[in-house]
Amino acid sequence: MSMETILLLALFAGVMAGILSGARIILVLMVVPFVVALLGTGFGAFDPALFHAIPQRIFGIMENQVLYAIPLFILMGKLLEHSRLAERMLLYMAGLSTNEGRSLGLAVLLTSVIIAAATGVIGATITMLAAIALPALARAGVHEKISAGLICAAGSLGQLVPPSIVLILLSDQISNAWVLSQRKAGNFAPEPISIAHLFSAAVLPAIILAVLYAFYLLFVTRVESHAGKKSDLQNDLAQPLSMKKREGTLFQSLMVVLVLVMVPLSVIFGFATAAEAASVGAIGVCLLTLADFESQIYKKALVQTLELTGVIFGIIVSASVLALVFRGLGGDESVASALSVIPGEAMGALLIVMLVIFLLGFVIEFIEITYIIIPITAPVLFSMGVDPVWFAILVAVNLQISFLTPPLGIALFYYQSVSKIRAAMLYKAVVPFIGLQIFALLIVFLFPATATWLPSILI
Amino acid sequence: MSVTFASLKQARKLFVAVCVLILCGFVVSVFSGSVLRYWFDAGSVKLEDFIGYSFAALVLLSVLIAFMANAHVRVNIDFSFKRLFHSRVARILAAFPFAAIAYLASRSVGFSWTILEGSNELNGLGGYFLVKTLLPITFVLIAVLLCIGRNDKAK
Repeated sequence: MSMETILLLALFAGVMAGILSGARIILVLMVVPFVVALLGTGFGAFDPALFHAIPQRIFGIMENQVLYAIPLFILMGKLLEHSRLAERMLLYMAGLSTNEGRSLGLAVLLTSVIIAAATGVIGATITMLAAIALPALARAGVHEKISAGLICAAGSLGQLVPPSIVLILLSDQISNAWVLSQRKAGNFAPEPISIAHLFSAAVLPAIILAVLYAFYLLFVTRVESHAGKKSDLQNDLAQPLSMKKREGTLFQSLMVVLVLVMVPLSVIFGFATAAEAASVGAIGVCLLTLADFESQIYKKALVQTLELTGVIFGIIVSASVLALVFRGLGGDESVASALSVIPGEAMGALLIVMLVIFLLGFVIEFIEITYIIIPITAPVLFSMGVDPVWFAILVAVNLQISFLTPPLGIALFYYQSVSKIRAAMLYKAVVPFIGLQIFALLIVFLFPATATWLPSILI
Repeated sequence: MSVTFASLKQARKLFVAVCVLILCGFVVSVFSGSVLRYWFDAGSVKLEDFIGYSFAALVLLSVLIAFMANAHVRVNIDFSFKRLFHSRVARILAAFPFAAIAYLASRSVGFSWTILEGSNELNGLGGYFLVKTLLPITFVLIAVLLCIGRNDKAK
């Protein structure tokens, strides 16, 4: 075994141990590769000149225009969250539905997908849904287990519905990997893969998942009408909203939906860059919330936007150090040779990568997966002939599963923070939804057109 | 001692306020750029540069803010080896790469200062060397925070 291989194994083991130690991921991704690179320099396996490339990589991230959209989308979501506009949207939609479990469940599903897509922040959506929709669903006769699974799954689905932060981060990594693989193949002017490709490609898989959830809900919820309780429940949901407020909420909700539709469409059709569309969305939501002006709303939204932006950029910056050290130790060639010996060529390699992402989803978050696994595996897969847009959507659907898989499904954490559900029951509650997500992943895998058809006709 | 902590708290508030202002400036400038482009068919190199500079500053300063707020992602599972990673020695070791990267960046930043690096575009905004200076400053501050052991406990 060569020194490079030993160091690569040490790098992998160190990163995993560090992550599981509970240390901040930014520290793990910065410190472990740095130490391994120093050891590599000592053993002559790592070129010390590469250390000088680290600041240049960070400057590159600071100048990356694809990432402009991240703080803007986060701000849009945080404004929706703190102005309680999203909450009122949910109350309004639930108030419109009948008191029957199925109908209310579907209303919650639809609204939560809209809110999740608009806020783009899983935590905000799930805590809001759990606080508002959970009691209503319980009174409508929907079993707690189904409600819990529905809220976690529907709240996470926003990460697949454009505009989504997952898709923006994926587009950054996928386009880099695509250019790298094409350069290796001698093509120095490849067709670019943009956010527009991923936004349009994600539409059908997101609909497939939403329809699967809806069918499941129809199948498992009770059909009883609870006629006697109807008015109670509707009053309960509508009470916090006065007539005037309800009219205002309807207008604001329609405007939010309009913003939500226009933002990705303007990107898909090339009218605006993601950052421009996101800025219009953020300013638009800001104007919508002016009706309930409270300086605290904006203060909280701005400070939390900075914090969440920092979390994401922290991982991006530190993962760039990891990627540099990994490449410096010849890790990309090791992965390429490992994937090339897998039976089934491109499909076999793709299946293995999907399995690795699925398994990593149990222990690490989507940003780390995107910035650790994609740069390592995607160039190899693209060189083997895998379609980059299809691959990106497969990863995005696979990441949906990671939001729900214990012990580190982020949706589960947020749900537990606002409900008294036992962990074991919550884990059982999400199992059917994980099954549906795997089924959706299988559909996208077997029928690549579900991801590639829309971009091919729209872009 | 209490005066020192009060001053630190004030400094932190001031720092967050400056970052909020940069974020607002970024949002408004991106929006203004879009409006200029689509409604008036106009553009400004200086505005584009301002967007780029404010974003670059946001990338670094937001990482520091998240660090101060202990918001960075971590995995909370109980393992026996966890203590190893939370000792004072581990924290000081963790500070080393940040300090080293700050040092490595300072060479490039130093060169930027000597040429007073500005925009790549003609008639662009000057002062990019100041934005680049934020990299060593941010990383040194993170290293200092690690060494003094602020916010090192899991939430």
